[in-house]
Amino acid sequence: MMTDWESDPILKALRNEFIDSLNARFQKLKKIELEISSLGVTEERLYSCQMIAHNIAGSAETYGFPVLTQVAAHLEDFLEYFSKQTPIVETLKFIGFFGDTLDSASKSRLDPIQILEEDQMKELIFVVGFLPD
Amino acid sequence: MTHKIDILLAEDDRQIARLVEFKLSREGFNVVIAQNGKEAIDLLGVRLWSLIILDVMMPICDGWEVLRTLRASLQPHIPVLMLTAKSYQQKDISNAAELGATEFLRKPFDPNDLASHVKRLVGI
Repeated sequence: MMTDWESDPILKALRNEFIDSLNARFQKLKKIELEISSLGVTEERLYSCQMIAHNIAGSAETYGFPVLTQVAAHLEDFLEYFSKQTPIVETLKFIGFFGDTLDSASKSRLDPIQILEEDQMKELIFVVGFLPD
Repeated sequence: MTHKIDILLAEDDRQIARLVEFKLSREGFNVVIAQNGKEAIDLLGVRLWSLIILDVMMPICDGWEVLRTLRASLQPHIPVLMLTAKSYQQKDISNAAELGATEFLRKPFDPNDLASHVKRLVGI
């Protein structure tokens, strides 16, 4: 997707607003993750994570964050179709990874592909690649 | 004075809604945003829309319900562009076609693609 975000001050402001919203979503995700760890998994908590992932999957690439969309889309699919038969520790790992990706994008203001270290890239490829499309 | 083409956009994601509004208003369209399905239904009869853009997953009532209401109304022939998630299955696309959606655009979308769809649907 080729939008020149610097070409117009309104476009630039809209993108900045999107990036700023990532932190709020990261905080919400962290809160749910903590609730799951301490109070247990519920359908409502998993659904809340799924909706955060759904919204990011549907918008991030539009704003120039294609890898964020990919990770979010895989988490969304995982939570919808696979989480019930997966040990909770693995589900939490996936949610935590997505949260870290959101946090990185929020702080760096760049798509994860542009800022990940080599070992993080390997983990990303594993996470993004292990689920069928 | 040239009359602007009126488009109703039903989209609960604020960042996406504002980007679409910006892009389409730069193309010369007048965009009104509904933040959920109920607001969209309330706005259906407010003016003669040239196009309605509907996100599928919205709070209160979803895009399918808005589409169903529109097609049962006095303005059933307004073109409708559905914004669907990539994860939606073929049966959802078939369902939307049965309900009378004109076209689909999968999210995430390129704003330039959206503008092209819109221009084609309103005939410019």
